[in-house]
Amino acid sequence: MTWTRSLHVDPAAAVPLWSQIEDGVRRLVASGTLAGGDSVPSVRDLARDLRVNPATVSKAYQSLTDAGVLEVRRGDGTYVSTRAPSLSRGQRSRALREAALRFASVAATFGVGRDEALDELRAAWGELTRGRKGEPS
Amino acid sequence: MNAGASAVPLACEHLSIRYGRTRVLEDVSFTVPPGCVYALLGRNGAGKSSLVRCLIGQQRAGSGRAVLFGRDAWRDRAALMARVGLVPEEPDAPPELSPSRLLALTGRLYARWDEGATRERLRRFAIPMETPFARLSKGQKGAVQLALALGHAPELLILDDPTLGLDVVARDQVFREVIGELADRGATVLITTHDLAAIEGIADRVGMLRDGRLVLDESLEAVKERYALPLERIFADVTSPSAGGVP
Amino acid sequence: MSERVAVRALLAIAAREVSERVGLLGLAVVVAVVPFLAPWLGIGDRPLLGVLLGVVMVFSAAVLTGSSVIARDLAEGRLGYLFSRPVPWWSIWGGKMLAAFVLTFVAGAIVLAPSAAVGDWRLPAGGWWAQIGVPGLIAVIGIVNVLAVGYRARSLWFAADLAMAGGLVWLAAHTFRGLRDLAVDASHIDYASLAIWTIALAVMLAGAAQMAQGRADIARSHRVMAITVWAVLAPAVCAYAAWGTWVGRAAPSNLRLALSAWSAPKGSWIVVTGRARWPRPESLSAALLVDPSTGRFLRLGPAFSALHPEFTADATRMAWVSNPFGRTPRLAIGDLAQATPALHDVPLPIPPGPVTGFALSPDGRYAAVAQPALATVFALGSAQAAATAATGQDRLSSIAFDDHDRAHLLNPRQAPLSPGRLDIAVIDPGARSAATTGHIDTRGNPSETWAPGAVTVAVVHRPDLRPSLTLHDGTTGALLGTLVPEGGAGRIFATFLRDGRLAVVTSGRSVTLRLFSAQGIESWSLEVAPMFSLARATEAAPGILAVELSLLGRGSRSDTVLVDANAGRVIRTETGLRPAAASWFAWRSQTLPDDGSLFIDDRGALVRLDIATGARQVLLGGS
Repeated sequence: MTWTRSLHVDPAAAVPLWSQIEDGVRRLVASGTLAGGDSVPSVRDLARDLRVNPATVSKAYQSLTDAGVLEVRRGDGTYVSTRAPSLSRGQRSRALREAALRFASVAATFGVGRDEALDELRAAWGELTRGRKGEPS
Repeated sequence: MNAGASAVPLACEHLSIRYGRTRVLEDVSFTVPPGCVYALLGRNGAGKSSLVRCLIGQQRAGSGRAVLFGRDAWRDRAALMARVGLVPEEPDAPPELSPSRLLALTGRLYARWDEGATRERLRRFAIPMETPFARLSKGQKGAVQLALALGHAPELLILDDPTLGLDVVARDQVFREVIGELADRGATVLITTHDLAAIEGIADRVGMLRDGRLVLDESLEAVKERYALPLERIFADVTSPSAGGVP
Repeated sequence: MSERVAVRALLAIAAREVSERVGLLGLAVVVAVVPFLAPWLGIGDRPLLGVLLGVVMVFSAAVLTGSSVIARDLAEGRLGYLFSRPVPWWSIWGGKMLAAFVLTFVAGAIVLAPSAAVGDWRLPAGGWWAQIGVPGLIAVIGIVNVLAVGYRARSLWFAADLAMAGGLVWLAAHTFRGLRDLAVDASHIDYASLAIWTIALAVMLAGAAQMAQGRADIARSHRVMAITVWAVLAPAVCAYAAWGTWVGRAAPSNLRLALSAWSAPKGSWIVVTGRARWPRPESLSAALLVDPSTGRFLRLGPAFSALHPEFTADATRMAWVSNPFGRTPRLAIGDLAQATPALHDVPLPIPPGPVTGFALSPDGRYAAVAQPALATVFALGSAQAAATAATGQDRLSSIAFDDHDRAHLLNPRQAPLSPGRLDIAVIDPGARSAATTGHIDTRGNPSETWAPGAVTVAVVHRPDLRPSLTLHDGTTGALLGTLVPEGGAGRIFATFLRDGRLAVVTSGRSVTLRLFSAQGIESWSLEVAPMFSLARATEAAPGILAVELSLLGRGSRSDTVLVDANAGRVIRTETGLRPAAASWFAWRSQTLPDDGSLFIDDRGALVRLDIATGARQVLLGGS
C-alpha cells in the first residue's frame, strides 16, 4: 500500500505510537486519500511496514473501529467505513471539543493569537479537502 | 498442572555472574510475560551476552537462576530449546556448510521443523543457498541464523544484539521478520541491544543494565510518560558511569 | 524430547563432522597405495611399510579428529549452535565421538586393507581387539580431546594437570619397576589391557562430563574434565601402587612353591626363594629370610640372583647383595642375633657396575666382591677398600676366604672357551695387598668350586664338550690330581664336604658318585642310578650325601639318593624330593654346605627331612 509511506510514525516522539497511527489514518481518511470501502493493510503487514509492534497497530485499529472510522468484515479484512461515523450528537460534540481544546492549548502555549490560530485552521481544512471529491469547502 | 502452558516464558531470578573477581551481573531479576517484546539495554560489555547464555542454559550462573516456561534453564535446557529460538551475537553456525546444508542439518535437530517456511524466509532474504556460511556477509549470516532460529516456530525468541554491524537494510529485514512472528503467533521476544533506535517502535517493556545491575525494568510507555524525554536521553542518563541512579 | 529425535540428531551431528573431514579419507587412499610403490621407492620390506603406514595413519587420524571434533568448536564459540537446539548433551557428545571413531577406523582400514588382502600381514585375533585395539583407540581419541580442551582453555590449571599427570605416571612407573624386579609379569597383556581400559574410561567420562556440565563454557569445561579425569585415574593409580606394595610384601605363608633354600651354619634361620600363591601373581618370585621355629622373617627382595646370601660361621649375621647385575648393587646385612632381626645397608666400596661374585669371611670381618674388571676386599661396614686385584673377565666368580681372612679367586687370561691359564689371585686385606700366587692350566670354559678355607679348588673344564675335573692346591694351583679325565663322563658335578673331602657325581651311561680325600685320593665309587640323569650332590647332614636325580632335567620331578659318605653305601632313596641348596638358581657359589637337611618336594613344599627316620616336616609352600 503506497499510502502507508505517508504514515509517519516517530517512535521517539512523546505521543504514543498507537495514537500517531490512529491520527495518521484519520488524516488520510479525512483527506480523501483513503476512500470509503478501501481496504486497509492487515495488522501484520502494517506493523511490518511501519516497523512497530503489531500490538500497537492492533490497538490503533481497535480505536479506529470503535470510532467508526474503520470496519471489520468477518473473513474479509479491515476496510474504511463507508458510512459516516454513527456517533450521537453528544459524542461528536465532545470529541470535537476535545480536539479543539488540544489545538487551542498548543496555539496558546506558543503565544499565538486567536486570528492566527483560525487562519491555520482554515489552511489545514483546505489541505484536507483539496484531495476530496465533491465536498463543500 | 500444566506448568508449561501457563507459565511465564522467561523469568530471571536474582542472577549473578562472576568471572574471577569481576562481577559481570549482580542480582538481576526481571520477567518477560507472554507476547511481550522486552528490550534489554546496556552498553557494550555490560554483561548482556553472559546473561543470554545463562538464560538459555549454556552457562551456569554464580547464583540465582533463569527460568523458562516455569523450568530451570540449566537443568532442562534440551527440552526447553524446542520452544526457544536464539539468534546469538556472534554467528556460530558451522562455517564450512552452505545455507542449504545448514537447513538440512538444523532440521534434523528438531522434532517439529517447517522446512518450506524456512526455505521461503531464506529466499526472502536473498541468501545464496550454496555459498559456505563463512563467506556470507555479516548481514546475511544474521539472516540465516534468524531463519534457522524460526524454523521450529518457537514461542520465545531471543535476539542477542541483532543489529550489531548491520546496515539499515539488513536491520529492517531482521525486524520485519520478527514482527511477522509476533503478529502470526504472538511470540514472546527478548532483544538485547545498545541500539535504541532499532527497538523503540517494537518493544513493550524495557530494562536497562548499568554496571551489571538492572536499574530500570518498566513498560516503554510508562518510561516515556515518566521522563517525558526521548528514550535515547533516558538511556544515556541512566547508564552513564557518573549517574547516581534512577531519578 | 523423544529418544528417536535425539538419536537422529546424534547421527546428523556425526555426519556433519565426517563430511567436513572427508579429505582425511582421501589422504588415506593415497597412503594405501604407497606400500605397493615400495619397489620403486627402493624399500624392500613391503609388509613392514604397509603396517607402519597403517599404524601411523590410525594414530594420526585419531589425534586429528580427537583434538578437533569438540575442542575446536568449543574454543571458537561454535558449540552454542548445537546447545541452542533441543538435543541432549549426549547427542552432541555421542555424535562427535562417533565421527572421530568412524573416521579413524575407516582411514586405518583404507590404508591397511589392501596390504592385508594381498597377504602381507594378518589381522590380530579377536582377543587383542577387545583387550588392546578398541580401548587403545578410544583412549587415544579421548586423551587428545581432553588435552586439546585443556590447552585451548589457556588456564593456569593446565600446569597443575600436567604436574598431576607427571606424578601419577611416576607412581605407576615406580610400581611397575618394583613389580618387574620381583619377576612379576607386570607387562602381561591382562595388566596392560586393564590399564588401557581404565584410561579410556577416565577420558571418555571426562568428555561426557564436559558436554553435560561444561557445555559451551571452555573454562568450566576444562575444570570439569580435569576433575573427572583425576577422580578416576588418581584412585586407580594409587590402588595399583597399593597393590604393588602389597604384592611385594609376601610372607612365608604366601609362598606356594620353594625354588631353593639354604640354612645358616647354626640355628634355625633359612634363606628361601620361592614363587607366590594366589591372590598374589603366580610369577612373583621373592627371597625371604625365615626362622620356621618362631615364624619371624625378613624380606630380601627379588629372588633371582646367581649370588646367594652368605652367613657368618656363628650364624649371627647374613650378607646379601641385592640387584647385583643392575647399575647400583647394594650390600645388606641382616643381624640375626637380635630379638627383632633387621636388614640394613652397609657401604659397598666398589666402582659402579655389576657384581659378579661375592663372599663373606667366616668370622664376618671381611667381604669380597668380584666385578668384571676388579675384585675388592674390604672390612664389613667400612667405606674403604682394603685391597683390590684386577680381574680378567666378565664372568661369575667363586670367591673363597682362607683361615687368615685372605680371599682367593681365579682369573682367566684368555677368552672363555679357549684353553689357557687361570691365575690364582689372593687378596690380603690385613696386609692390604694382592698377589697372583699360582696358576691352573685349563682346557677352557672353567667352572670352579672351592673347598672350605680355600685349601683346594676343584675345576671342571669344558663342561660343554667332553668335560674333565681336576683338583688343585688353593694357593699355588699345583695339580693334585685329574679326578675325571676328558671323555670320562657326560656331565660332572663336584661339591666339597665340610671336612674338605670332595664328592663328585658323574653322569654318563649311569650316574656314579665318587668320594675323594682332601688331597684327591679316591675313597670309593658308587653307581647311584643305572641310566643317564642330570645329577647333583650336596652334604645334607654331616657325613651324609644327598644325590639329586632330576628326572626331567628341569628340577620339577626329582628323586634323591641318600648316601653314607664314610661307608660309601646308599642309605635309601627318597622319591619326590630334591636337596634345597643345590637348586638350579644357586649352583655356582657355595662355601659352606647346607646343614639343615632342607629338601624341596615335587609339589614345591620346603621340607625338613629327618635322615634317620625319613620323616618329612613341611616348613612352607606346597600348594
